[in-house]
Formats: sequence, C-alpha cells, structure tokens
Amino acid sequence: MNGTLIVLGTKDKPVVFTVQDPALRSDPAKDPQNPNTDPAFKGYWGGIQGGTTAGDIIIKWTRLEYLGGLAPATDPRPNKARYGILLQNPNSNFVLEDSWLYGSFDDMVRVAGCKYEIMRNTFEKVGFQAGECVNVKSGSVGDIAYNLVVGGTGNAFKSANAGGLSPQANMNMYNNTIVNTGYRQAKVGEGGSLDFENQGRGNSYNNLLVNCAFGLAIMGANGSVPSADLQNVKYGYTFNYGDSLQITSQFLPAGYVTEAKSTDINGGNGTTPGANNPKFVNFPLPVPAGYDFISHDYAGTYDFHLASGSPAIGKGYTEFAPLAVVKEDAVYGATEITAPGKDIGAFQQDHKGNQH
Amino acid sequence: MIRSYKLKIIIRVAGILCGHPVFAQPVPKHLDTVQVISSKAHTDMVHSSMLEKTSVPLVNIISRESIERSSDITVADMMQRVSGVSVLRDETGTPGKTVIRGMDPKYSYTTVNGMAIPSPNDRNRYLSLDLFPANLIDHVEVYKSLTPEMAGDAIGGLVNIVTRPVPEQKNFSIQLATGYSQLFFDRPYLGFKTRAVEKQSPYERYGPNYVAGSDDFSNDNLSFHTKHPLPDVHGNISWSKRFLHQKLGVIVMGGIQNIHTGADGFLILQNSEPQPNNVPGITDFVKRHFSTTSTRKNIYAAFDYRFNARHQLRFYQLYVNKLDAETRDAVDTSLAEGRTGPGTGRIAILQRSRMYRQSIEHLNLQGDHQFNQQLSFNWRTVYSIAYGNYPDRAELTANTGRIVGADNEVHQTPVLLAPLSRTWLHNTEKEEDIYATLHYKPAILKQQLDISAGTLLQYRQRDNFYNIYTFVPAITSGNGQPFTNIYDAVWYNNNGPQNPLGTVNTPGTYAAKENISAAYLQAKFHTNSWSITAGLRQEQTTQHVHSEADPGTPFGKAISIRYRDWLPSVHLGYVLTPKQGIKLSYYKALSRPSLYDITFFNMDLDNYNVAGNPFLKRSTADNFDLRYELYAPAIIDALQLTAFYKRIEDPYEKTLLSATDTLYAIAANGQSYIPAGKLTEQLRNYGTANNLGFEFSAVKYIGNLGIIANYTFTYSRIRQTKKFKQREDPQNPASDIITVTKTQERPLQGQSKHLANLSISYHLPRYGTTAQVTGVYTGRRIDEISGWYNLDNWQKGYTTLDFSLEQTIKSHWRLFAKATNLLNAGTQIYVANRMLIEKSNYKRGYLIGIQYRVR
Repeated sequence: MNGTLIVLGTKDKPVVFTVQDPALRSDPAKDPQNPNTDPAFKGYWGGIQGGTTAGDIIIKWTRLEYLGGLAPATDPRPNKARYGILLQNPNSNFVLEDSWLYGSFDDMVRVAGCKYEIMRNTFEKVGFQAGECVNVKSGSVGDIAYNLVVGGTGNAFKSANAGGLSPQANMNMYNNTIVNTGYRQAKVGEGGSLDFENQGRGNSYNNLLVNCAFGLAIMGANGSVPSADLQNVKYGYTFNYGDSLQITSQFLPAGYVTEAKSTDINGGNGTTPGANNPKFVNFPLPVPAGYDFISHDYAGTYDFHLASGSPAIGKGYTEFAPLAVVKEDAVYGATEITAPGKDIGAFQQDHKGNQH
Repeated sequence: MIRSYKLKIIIRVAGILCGHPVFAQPVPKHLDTVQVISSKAHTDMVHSSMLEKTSVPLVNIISRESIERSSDITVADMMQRVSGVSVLRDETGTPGKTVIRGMDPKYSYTTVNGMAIPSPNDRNRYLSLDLFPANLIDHVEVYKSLTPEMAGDAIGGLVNIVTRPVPEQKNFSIQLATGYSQLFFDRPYLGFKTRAVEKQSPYERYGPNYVAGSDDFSNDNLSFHTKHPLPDVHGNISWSKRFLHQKLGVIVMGGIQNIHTGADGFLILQNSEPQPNNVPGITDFVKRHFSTTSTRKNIYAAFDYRFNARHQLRFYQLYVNKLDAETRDAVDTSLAEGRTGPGTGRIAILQRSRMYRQSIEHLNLQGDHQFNQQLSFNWRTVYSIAYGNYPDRAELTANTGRIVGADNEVHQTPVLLAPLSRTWLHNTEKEEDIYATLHYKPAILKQQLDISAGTLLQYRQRDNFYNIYTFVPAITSGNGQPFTNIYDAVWYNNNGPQNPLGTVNTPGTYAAKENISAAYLQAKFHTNSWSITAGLRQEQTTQHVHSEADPGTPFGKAISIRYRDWLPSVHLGYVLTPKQGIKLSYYKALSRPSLYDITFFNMDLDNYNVAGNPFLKRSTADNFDLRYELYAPAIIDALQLTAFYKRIEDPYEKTLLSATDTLYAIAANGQSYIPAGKLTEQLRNYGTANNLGFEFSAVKYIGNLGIIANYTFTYSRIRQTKKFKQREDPQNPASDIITVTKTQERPLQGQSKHLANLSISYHLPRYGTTAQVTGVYTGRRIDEISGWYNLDNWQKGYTTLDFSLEQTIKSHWRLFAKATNLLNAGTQIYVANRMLIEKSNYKRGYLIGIQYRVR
C-alpha cells in the first residue's frame, strides 16, 4: 500500500475484513479450541502493508481477522508470514482506534516508522508460536493506551529501536489490560506482556497484567547486551496478578533490570498466588486447576470491566500526558487521544477508556 | 705437445640457454671427446627458478618437486609457500581461497592451463583452490603482473594451474595414503546418513503445482549419530605412453580422496546494530562443533599428436568433483534473555546437516602451428561446466532454557521443537571460449622482435535455482511440542510445510549471461641486456541478468550492462650482470563484481535489509612493480626483491545505508530516487584505494640443507563511510538516539601487514631421504567488514608448522609422511580491538602413504 487508507466504521456498524466463506472462520462456540486447528491462525490474507513512502493509515471501529498469510517468493521476506499491519514511513500517521484485531500468525501490528495512536482496541489470538501485538521499531513515536489483549503468544507491546530510522522508537504505553499472554511461545525467558530492549524508550504506567507468563521486561544494564534506553524508560503503577508460583515469580522476569516500584500492586517476585484479585465483572479468577492458557486466548463473552471493590480502582497515575503526535480529527486524525486514567487497566469506572 | 684445456661445458637447462661455467680446471691428460648428455627434470625446483627468471610478467612458480616434498593434498595447500600470498581457511581449517598481495579473492582469478574456468559457487565468480587435488598438477604459476595476452581481471594476481603434460617416456605411478585428524582421536565425529539426502526438492521432482507433505521429505539426514570415523583415504593412479613413433602421446590419471576434518570452538553473536557510541551489543554465546567429510574425485586424460616438429594438436579433459558432508552441532545460550548468571538463559540447540557438491568438467582442444621461422599460430577452444549443488540444507532446532524459578533455583524448561527450514540450492555455469594468437618475428631485426596479436572470446551462462520450505511445529503440549527426534515431529499445516508449493522465485533464482570479447596487440623486443614488452588489450563486457521481481516494483526483472576497457601494459627487463637483473612493469587490470551482486535482490532480515546493486561499477587498477633478481649459487641460489604499488579505482565494499540514503537512483513513487527505507547493506564503490608492499624471497642450498624464506610487507588504505550510533546531543541523555555517518580509513579486507614463511629441508640423495619443516606466519588482517564505524572483525595473526618426510626405496618406491598444524594454530576473531568473538581449533592432521612409480 503506497497511498492513504482511511477505514471509518462506527460502533453500531463496524467495518469487517474477514474471509468470505463462513465455514473457514473460527467458531466462537468452539472456544477454547486447540491452536493447531483454530482457523484464527490460518493467515487467510496477508494484511495491510504500508510502503516506505505510504501515506496515513486510519482505522476506526473495524474488525480485522485472520491476518498473517505467507509472503510470496518475490517479496523481500519470501515465505515468511506477513505482519497484520505494517507501517514503514516515519512521516506518516497511524491511527488504530476502537477496533478488534482477531487472529494473526506472527506480529499483528508492526510499527517500523510512523506517528501512532493505538487506543481502545481488543487484540485476541495474536501469534501462533511467535509474534507481538504491537512491535514498535525505530522511526516510531506514539501512544498505546486502553487496549485489551487476550491470549497473545509473545509480548503485547514491545519497543526496540532496530532498523536505523529516526526518531528513536518511543512507546508511551498506559492503561492496558493484558490477560493470558506469553504461553504459545516456544522461547522461554521473556515475551509475556511488555518489553523494552535494544535502545527502545518510552513509558509504562497503569497497566494490568493478569496471568501473563512474564511481567514487564526491561533489558540491559551490564553494558554488553543490547539494553533498552534505560535513562529514558519510565515506569510504575503496574498491577500484576498471577494464579501460580510459576507466574508470580516472573512478575520481574529473571535476567532483566525491571525493579519493583512502590506504586505497583503485587510488585516484586514474592507475591502469594491469587493475591489482590482485580475483580473483573465477568472473568473468573482464580482460574480453575488444569486451566490451559494456550487455548484460553479469546475475549468471547467475558467482561473485563472492574467490579466495585477492585483494587485497581483509583490507583492510576494521571500526572503525565499522552505524546499526542497525531492531530485529533474525526476523519483524518485520531478521534480521541484519551488521557491517562484514574483506574489501572483499560476499562475505567467513568466509562472513558476501552468501549468494547 | 700437451696443452691444458679449460673445459667449459654449456648446459641446456630445460631448453633455456644459459652460460654457466661448470668446470674450469687444467686438464693434465689428453682428452679426445667428452660427451655429456644430461637434462634436468622439468619438474624440479631449479627449473622453476629458471622459468621465474626468464618470464616476462612477474611470476612465482611452485614445482612438482616442491609439491611432492611437502606432500600437498590440494592446490590451496601449496599457495601458502608462495611469496606475497596468504590463504583463507574454511570453517574446519582447510585452506581454500587465496589473498594475493593483500587483495581479497574477488580481485584475482584462477585459470587452468591459461584458460579461465567457471565457478561452482552460487554467489562468487572466484573458486576455492582446494577443488584441485595435487596429483593432477605439474606446477602452479602465480602471476603478479600481466601481459596483454593474459585476461585482464587480475588486480591481485593470477593463479594458473598447469596440469601434467604427456611426458616423453612411458610412465606409471600408483599412490596410496591414509591419514587422520587429531580432532577425532579426541572426540567422536557427529554424522548423518548422507545417502538419505534427497537431491531434488519436491518442487523439482513433481512440478510447480505439487502440494508437498511431510512424506516427501527425508528424515534420516536429520538424525545425527556419533562414531569414530574410518581413516582418511588418498589414492591416485596415472599412466602415460607415447605411440606411433612418439607422435601420439596419452596420459590418463585418476584420483580419489576421502578426508575427515572438523573444528571445535565458539562464536559470540552481536546484535545487528550496536549500542550508543558503537559499543557492540552482544546477544548470544554459541558453542560449536563441526564434523566434515570431504570426498574428492578427479579424472584427467590428455592426448597430444605431433604431426611434425612444427604442428601439434593437444586435447585434454579434466573433471574434478568435491563433496562436503558437514554436521554443525551448536548450543546457543542467550546472554540477554533470562540470564541471571553463568549457566542460565534461553538456550537453542541446533544441529545442521549440509551437503555441498561442486564439480567442474573442462574440455580443451588446442593447436600449435609454426609455419616458418617468422610466423606461428596458436588456437584453443574450451568448453567447461561448473555445477554447485546444496540439496536439503536444514538445521534442526529445539529451544529450552535454564531460568531461575520461584524457589530461587535454576530449572530447565522443557525442550521444545522450533521451526525448521529446508533449502535446495543449485547452480550451473557453462563457459565456451575461443582463443587465437598469431606470432610474427620479422627477419629484418635478427629475430629480436616478436609481435603477437590475438583474441579471446568468452561466453558464460549461469542458472541459479533456490527453493525453500518452512515447517512450523504444532503445539502438542504445554507451550509447544516437546522435542524427541525428527521422526516424531508433528508439523502445523496438515503435518506439512507452510508453503507446500515450495518458494522458488526468490532473488536466489536467476539466470545470467556474460560475454567477454577481447583482442590484444603486443610487441616484444630484446637485446643482450635489454628486453621490453609492451602492448594493449581491449576487453568488451556484456552482462544480462534475469530474475523474478516483486510485482509491487516496476523494475528489476531484467538487467543489461555493457562496458569496454583498454588495458595497456609495459614490461622492461635489464640484465645488470649475467647473475643479476632488474624488471620494471606496469599493467592495468580490472575486477568485475559477481553476477549475483548486480541484481536487484532485496532480502529483509527482520532488522535490516540486504540489497543488490546493478549500478555497481567494476574496479580498475594501475599496477606498478619493480623487481631485483640475483642468481649466484656461491652467495645465494635465488634472491628476489620486489616492490609493488597498486592504485585501485572504484573498489567495491559492503556498506550500510540509512533509511533516507539513496538505494537506487531511479525515480519512483513521486521521488527522484528510491530511498533505502531502513538499515540496508549494499555493495558500493569508493573513490580510490592504495595498496603497496615489498616482497623478499630467497632460496639457498648449503650442501644437503635447503632454505627457502619469504617475507612480505603490505600496506593498503581505503576510505569508507560507516554508520555510528549516538545521542543527538551527546551531552543530553534525554535526547534521541540517532544514526550518523563517519568516515573510516582501514586496510583492505584480507590484507595482512606481515606475511612470512620459512622452509628448511634436509636432503640425503645417497639414501633418498628428504625431511622438511615449513612454518607460515600470517599477520593479523580484517576478516569481515562491518558497516558500523570501528566494528570490523579482525583475525589474530597465527603460525602454522608442518613437517614432512620422504624416503625413496629402490628407485621405484617412495614412502612419505606428513604432520600438519603442529602448533595447533586455530582462528581467533576480535572486534573493536578488544573483544574476542570467535575462536576455533582444528588440531593436527597426519598423513602417511606409499607410491610406486615406473618410468
């Protein structure tokens, strides 16, 4: 794609990009289903690939499904799964608001150069055995906020300044709810929720991480590994929740330099499993014995709003501003660059935030 | 009356007249006639010295005698003993490609009996000299300057492999040897069933519409087992005879070698981009073991027919075949993920099986005609095919980790199968050459003037095929698929590859044609003390390349390049005394980029791109040489002092481009140029590089002791733009991290400042015993260029030491033994002058054999 793409759905009438034959689609009634046979990962189509001179891509109230088809032999990435949405022009704008991203084989969104606002979306079934929900590379600056991520295979959001573009990869990440992520990933050590590495910079505030394989990972510090831009990574107000020792002992992933902050809920690696239940309106916690994380990768009929009495209410940090790099406009810009919320997570008591 | 006579005997040494007083003493008796008939064998070292002395272009020669004395196995082995030449060793320590006078192999070329050979390599036009076994060779010539009658693409030098001619007498020889590598005494060999490898991919077997499933792929070659290998086998046989009153001569030779080599060591991987201020970002520590079996086969047959003393026809057929079956066993520990201390981290276990088959079939027919005393004519026609084949190259990988758990203890996570790629790659290069030369010696100038004119037409055609299948493991339990072995692997996508039709039209699949037509004119004039050779060569190059391009781009399918070069050369020789001479030469040469590098290929390697450059210009160079020679057996048998200077225009080097740099100067998408878009590696031309040096070469025989010493000093400089990472405002840690450009001066890749070798031999002719010790020192040099400022990879200097022994028994039998790499010289690579990033050990090799020879 080398021009400008503007997709404007509405809450009542969203635009849908999907496979035509209903028999090929993933049947929600069958969830939780085996990822080997779940059509969500089939990659029926490649996705939206922006070129290096492409214009703006603006997507609102849209449902994108079954992305990540194989690139052909003549492509620069022959025989590899395409990214669901690819941006490569640091001068362009990318707006993804109030949309549903359902099923990709590898990265759902790869931001390799643009100014972005990714707000209030729901990501489900992202990545078969590898892939991030949003992979931010060099040349990209923007906000990622109020997103719900269920069942991703790798990180939900990652900032790594690779590719040599300017400006430096900058990810202002706040008020996201991330559930059951990091399980189909065959590579251990990281890739569970949020990640900063390889000279990426940004912020992480007010994020709610529920039963993720690994917590917030910030790489670096002994000078030899490709560390994150530590002087410019600011974080805190992270709400970790885990139902087993295996999860709670990786809230601060081994080998990374993330520190527990006093503003965290369940900070550090010593939390008792099940402590500080975030009390979702309809998502049973703790999970029952024998619960299979890799197939519970869907939002379905669950409701991730906070019930009254949730420890996440009122604990959000609001003394910082969004980067707001894209103009606010109903058609040519972002509809609403929502400011940081008073509650931790994507769903707010005052009904700002994620609208799904 | 008795007179005393000084007996002066003039000896013809290998057909060259040289006034060389042999005896000079008073004769007390009356002598009638004395007939002394003798001839020096064409193969020995003295003969080579004479050829070096009388040659117009500067040359170094390795004689048959030197090859046998050192028990060389391949042509690459011998190259280490040539002054100014160093060898590049492959991953198991076997010498292969050569660096002549500090110039990378791409700046030199190889010929067989004066004619160019096509390359079996998929990317490069030069070949590895270890393709040619030593038993076929009569001698090897390394030319360091060119005359107009030689093809012009030798900026570094030209290696000419001269195969055995048909000798005058009947000859029969059979040789058998065995050997072993110390490495396999110390650890077992990891191998796979090479017979299980499918030579053709499912696409090639069943067609482009065939949907491949897991049954179409063999598993036995991904099942690895240890063993102690059988000893190496070397065998060759040769027979020659003349028939029909010596008019028809036949020589037939065949040989086979089966050699096991290996390497143990480690590698430290760096991130594709460094940290700020270009501090390397290291990501992995990989412990590696190589086990390789190389099998070489060769068949050589030559015929010559002498119509009479003036007309001769010669035909030969040369076939060389080399098969490498290699296992690479590696454990890759991440230094970045999950690492809390030694013995922890994310781990990948990798086992790669690789078979590489290269072969060259070379047919040559030539005629030499002497019409009269003034006019002679030579013509040749050559047909060659080079094949390269990499069937089913695959690396079985599994992931695990040793991570600190909830109890603060380190636990190993389950070993899970990782994705698998299987690649088929093959290439064919066909070459047809026609060569014709006319020599004219006008009678007026007493045969001192020699004019020659000639032409060389080269037609080359290359086809490259690349086919890759990717398999993704299905999730069977926990996070993935517990790994047991390849036979139990279950794959996603109906237990088949992600791309059942095979992926073929990648940049690796292309067809190319290259035609070079050359014509030259040369004149040679000599007096008793002077000789001058001067001439001009013209080469016209036409290249056509065709590859499938991304439908999204409007260009790239076909490329057509044409250029013409004028290459003058002048060689002056002056005889100071009968023992001393000076040679001065100038020649112009060029170096053409490989056909792969001039396509529009573009590969996205996740964090950076690699792209081809059809706008790459070929390099040209002006080369100057000054040599002083001394042949005075009383003082020194041979001494050569050479100084050289090369000025290279448009050298092409690997460069890193930023997103906004111009990738191609083609208008597209509303811009006047195409930007790189992201970090991209591409070959680019740079203004000028300078290369100069000094070579010292000496041969001295003291009684039974022989000493050959070479020392070369080389200095080169090239200026290149490189990338550097820093904060936009170095004083402000909150400012953005950006990539800027800096200029760096460095020596040419592969150039060692100091090269030296010393050979000491002890020869007892009465007992037929020879012992020889050879030491070769290769000084530190750049192993690989990095596009980042100050992050080139340097190889540490190393010294190899070989010992060989020869014993002749009863004139027909010859026993030989050799021990190589006695000092266990491995490879060590450093980056930024301080950090060791690669280390490999090859250990010693042993060889012992016997030869039966009838002359």
